[in-house]
Amino acid sequence: MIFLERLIAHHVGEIDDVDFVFLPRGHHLIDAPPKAAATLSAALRCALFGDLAPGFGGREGALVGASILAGGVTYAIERRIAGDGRLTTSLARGGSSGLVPVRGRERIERELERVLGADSEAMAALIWPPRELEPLADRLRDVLRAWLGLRRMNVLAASVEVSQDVREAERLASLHVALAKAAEAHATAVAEVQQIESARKRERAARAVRQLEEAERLVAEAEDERRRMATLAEGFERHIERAEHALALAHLLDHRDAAVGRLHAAQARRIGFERQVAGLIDLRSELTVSEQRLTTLERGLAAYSRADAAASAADQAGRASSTVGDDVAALERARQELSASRSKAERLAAQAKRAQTLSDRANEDANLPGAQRLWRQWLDHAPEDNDDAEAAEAEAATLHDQLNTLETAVRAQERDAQLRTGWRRVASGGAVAGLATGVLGLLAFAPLAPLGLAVGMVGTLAGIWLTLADRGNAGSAEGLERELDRVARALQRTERRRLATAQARDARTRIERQLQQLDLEVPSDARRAMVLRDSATARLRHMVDGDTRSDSTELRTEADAAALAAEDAARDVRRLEARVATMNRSDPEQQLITAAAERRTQLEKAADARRAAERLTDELRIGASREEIEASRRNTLRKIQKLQQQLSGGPDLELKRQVAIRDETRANDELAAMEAEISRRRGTDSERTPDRARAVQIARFAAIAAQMGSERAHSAARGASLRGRTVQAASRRHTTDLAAALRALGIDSDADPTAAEARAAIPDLDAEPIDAEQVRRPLRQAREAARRTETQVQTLELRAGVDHTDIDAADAQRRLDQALQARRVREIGQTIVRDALVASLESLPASIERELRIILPAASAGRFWDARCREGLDVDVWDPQAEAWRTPCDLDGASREQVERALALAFAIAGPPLDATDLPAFIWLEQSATDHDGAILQAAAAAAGLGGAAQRYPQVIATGHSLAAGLGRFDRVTRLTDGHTANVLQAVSRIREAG
Amino acid sequence: MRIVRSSEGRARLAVAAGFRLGARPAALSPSQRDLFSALTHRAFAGVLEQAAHARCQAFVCGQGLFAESPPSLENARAAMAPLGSARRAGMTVVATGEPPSLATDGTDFLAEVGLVDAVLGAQAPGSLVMPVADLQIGLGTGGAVANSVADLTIEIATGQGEVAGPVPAAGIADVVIDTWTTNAGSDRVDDVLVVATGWAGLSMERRTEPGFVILDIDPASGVIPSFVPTEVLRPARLVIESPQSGGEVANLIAPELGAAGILDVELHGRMPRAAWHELDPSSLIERAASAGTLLRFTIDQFVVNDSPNAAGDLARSSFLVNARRASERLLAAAGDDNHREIIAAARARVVEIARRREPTKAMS
Repeated sequence: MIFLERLIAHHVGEIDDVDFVFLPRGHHLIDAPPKAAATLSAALRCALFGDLAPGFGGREGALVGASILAGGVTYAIERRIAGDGRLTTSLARGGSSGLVPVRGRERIERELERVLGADSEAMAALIWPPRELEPLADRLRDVLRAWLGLRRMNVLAASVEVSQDVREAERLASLHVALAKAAEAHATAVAEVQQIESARKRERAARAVRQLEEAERLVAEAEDERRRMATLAEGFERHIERAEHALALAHLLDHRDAAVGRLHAAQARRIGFERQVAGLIDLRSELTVSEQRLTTLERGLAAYSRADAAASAADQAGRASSTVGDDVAALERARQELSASRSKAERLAAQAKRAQTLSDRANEDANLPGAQRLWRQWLDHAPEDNDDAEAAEAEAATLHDQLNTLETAVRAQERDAQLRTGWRRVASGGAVAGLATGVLGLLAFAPLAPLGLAVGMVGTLAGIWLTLADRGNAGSAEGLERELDRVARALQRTERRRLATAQARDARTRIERQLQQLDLEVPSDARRAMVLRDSATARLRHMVDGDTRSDSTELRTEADAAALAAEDAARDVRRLEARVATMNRSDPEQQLITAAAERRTQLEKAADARRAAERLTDELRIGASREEIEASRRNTLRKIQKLQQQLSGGPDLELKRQVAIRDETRANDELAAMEAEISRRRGTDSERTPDRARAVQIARFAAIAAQMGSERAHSAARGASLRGRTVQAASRRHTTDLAAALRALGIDSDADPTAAEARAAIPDLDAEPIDAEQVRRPLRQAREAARRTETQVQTLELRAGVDHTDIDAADAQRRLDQALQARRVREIGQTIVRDALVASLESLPASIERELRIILPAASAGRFWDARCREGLDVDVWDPQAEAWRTPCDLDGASREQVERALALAFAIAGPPLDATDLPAFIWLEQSATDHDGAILQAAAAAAGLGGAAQRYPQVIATGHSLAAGLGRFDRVTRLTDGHTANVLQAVSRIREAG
Repeated sequence: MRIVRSSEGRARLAVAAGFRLGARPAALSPSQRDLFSALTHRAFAGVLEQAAHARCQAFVCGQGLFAESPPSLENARAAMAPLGSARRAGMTVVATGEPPSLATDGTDFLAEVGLVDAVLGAQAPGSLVMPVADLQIGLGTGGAVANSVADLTIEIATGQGEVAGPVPAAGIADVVIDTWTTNAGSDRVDDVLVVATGWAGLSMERRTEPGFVILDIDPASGVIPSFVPTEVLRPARLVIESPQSGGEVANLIAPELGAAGILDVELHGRMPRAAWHELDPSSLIERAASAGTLLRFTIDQFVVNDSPNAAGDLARSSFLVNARRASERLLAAAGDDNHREIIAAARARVVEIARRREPTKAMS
């Protein structure tokens, strides 16, 4: 809170030189003429907020200043007013070593803004509460923010704002995550393609190895057979060789021609396939564009679907809300019934109690003479003071103890007396015997004389001593006897008192039994008995004077009936409480709130989804209706299907191209091998047709000759040779295939690798053979997926401006989560701040109305006691005389001022929220021109000291003149005369100043 | 330290303040003003009677006596009767200080007619030594109390703030009495006993119980203050929970009217506006005043509940409370734990900034 410690004004307006010191708590009256009071108020406003009033300045040395205490720190503000109205402000801040000046205009303004707020109008409204609230009501939201602290509210708004940076960070994080996912999908697809292709290549190599090994085995067999037949065909070797040579050469030449033809055919097929593959690339680009469009359309449709679903959910929530509302209404009705039943039960209980009282009174009246007699007798035998009875008991016990002690002492005394009597007799005997012995010694035997005299003297002395002691003991015994007698008498008195108490108790018990039989009250003490007796006596006198008696039986019946009615009502209350508890168990109010919140959330979701759909349709430049999006999607889908059908033949085409290339390669290899063989075998003119024919003829001749030697050997040798050549040709083809397969697998090998080399290079070659036909379809799909994901990666890289290799998927996801959470936190923070401000604004009229209801009776001297405050801070007061609501404008002058002052005070007290920043702890009240005796001002000051107002405004400062005495109370009065102060009470304290 | 210099003799003083006889607060209705004025006199007479009953030998009155000056003849007469009784009971009466009004007090008049033994003003420091029982008591205002003749010196503070600080001026008096603090109590600062008497008279503020202080002065045990409530001003108190009709309130109040001098009625809970109008507190107060009872309503915890804006709480609004309620509404509608965590984080952010006294920058 901000306390006002001091106010200084020099040479401003009507004031020459004033210096006010205010109490930290209490009411301070400044007795000043109206103009001076107005100048003083303006001086304070100028000192605090720098608002220069007309008429300030123009005088030499014009100066206003104030000292305030905010947050435990003293601030001294001084504003010098130049002749042209220019203000020069100086500020000092309290520290451990006193006031420390704040240097620099900007620092001063910043410090003052920090202490007093940036909105001087809002703060001034709490010091000089305005009588009309309409101007403030128009900007109430800003005023509320000013009370809460503009700096704080601005910081709060900035902290929950979803800025462009936040959105951009979220978009970038989202792109990074999508890029990382696309890159991962692409890598997976590529790996799958590589895996399948690797398997295919391994299988191809394995097949080639197996064929090659089979060929080698066949070659070995053929060679073996040939060697066996060679012996048989040795004689025919030359002929056979020539024949074979010629035949082989001719055969090779034929094969070469066929190989040339196959090579040409393979080349033609390869060229055709390559042209078709080039056409497919263009189709793929077109397909990618169509797929992106389809994705966008589907997102739009999905947004529409979400919107429809959210709208449906909102309708359902609304229906649920209405259902729960019925439950809440039923609960409220039950509560009202419960409240009415409680009131009824309390009323019936009071009636029952009253009926019981009347019944008891009637019963007393019916037995009044007897009751009066019994209460009188009870009073006669009223118990003595319990303390006295207990003291008597204690005294009797003490006396008994004393009596016993004394009797013991007396008996001991008597025993001592008897003992001494015996000793005295012995002493007397001793004295007589001693004297006799002494006389006998003197007369007859001289030595016995001294002994006898000594014994006689001892006995005499002992007797004398015992006699003297007996006398003392006799006196002591008499004293004991007297004490014993006194104690015995006291004991008798005590016993008599105890007996009397017991008799009185018996009598009381008897009387009380009679009272109980008559159903009359048994007194608890003598005072109560006296009251009952006097009451009965008085009533007897009234009866004598003609008072009538009530029928006790009838009243008893009525009391019982009233008690039954009270019990019925209490039972009804318990039943209703159970019903309310049952209805409360389901908590319909909370359900109602939940349903309303759900409906609002679903409506917001529907709106968001519709906006998203419209944004997507704008991007595609198509109509925003759902039907148009669906039509466009169907068209795009048909186009994509058509393109996919065309592209689906791509892999087959590629395979055919590969086969064609392979066939071409094989044909080339075969042609080259044949050419080499032909070159090796043929002679200089072997190409010529006559030579080829001659060789054939020779071969045929040799064959005929060999057939002549051994038809069988010749036949076998020829067959073996034929098989060997066939197998070698096949072996070469397989070697070529194997070399191609090894290259495809990335294994470095020469042109004719062996099966053993291949097995050494490829481990586990025979494991799990696969079917090429089965692998073809997955391979095609994997390649298609790899191409698609690669396109996505490229697109996202362009949008994100970063290569996918620079992105860590986990880190990108974490950043996206953080960005999303930050945005959601800010959005929800905005909602919370907005709702809190709205709630504070909405509760303001209720708070003002409540405070006004407290203040209004004091401010209006009891005339008004109710008001209503609506939104916009329009206030009506209830006029009990007219029994109608009136606006302040409808009231006459004094009443209107009273109401307006109360309203201003209620606004200043109830307006600021509880958690507002430092608010002024002082309020400035001024006497109006129509308030001649200051009654309205003093009533307002008194109202400012009531209840919550006293806590809100510990400092109340009033300015007035010619106030009527006795109407108010002020803790300090300062008089302003001729522009100077003169405290009625000493203003400056010796010990402690204000604050 | 021994502050009573005489080795023998005892004395008992009554110190009271805040009577303001004849006050007629402008915040009350005219009929209540008359009753209020009468109650101030009854309080004064009652306090004097209590002091006499307690066998006080002296009565010291702070802040003057009258609310207006010069006091009306009626008020002066009303004050003279109890003062005469006090004098007859053997009490020495001293008046100190003046009410902080624009006029002078009427205690001078009472001193002239012999009902007040001495008057110590607040405008100028003054002191006197008066014999009370077997002791010489030095009384002073404005710091001029030091007196070597007195067995005990007492300073009466004449204005608020003079003894409100923790340390009174050393060497001025043995006991300082503050008559301006509404809360009664005592404290010992160094060797000086500081006693706040509270207000014995009737006032508009009802924060503390009215009463005065009796000082038992004994050389052996020093000065022992004890607070004595003003019996006359002890109000009857009636708490009514959620009344459903004005007639119900009136019926509950009716038995107390005329029986109690002051009746404080606290209304709690809610009441329909029609019932509030049926109650008509103004006419009820008028009726009570006619019956001689000062009826005071306390409606701090009371709501007229069918007002269009009365659905809110009783207290002033709070931004933090409203923020908490808004976040709780969001939490109730939240579908999963993640959403709830986000709402809690948003609330924590809002609350953290809203609680700052001097926020300097936004949170990242």
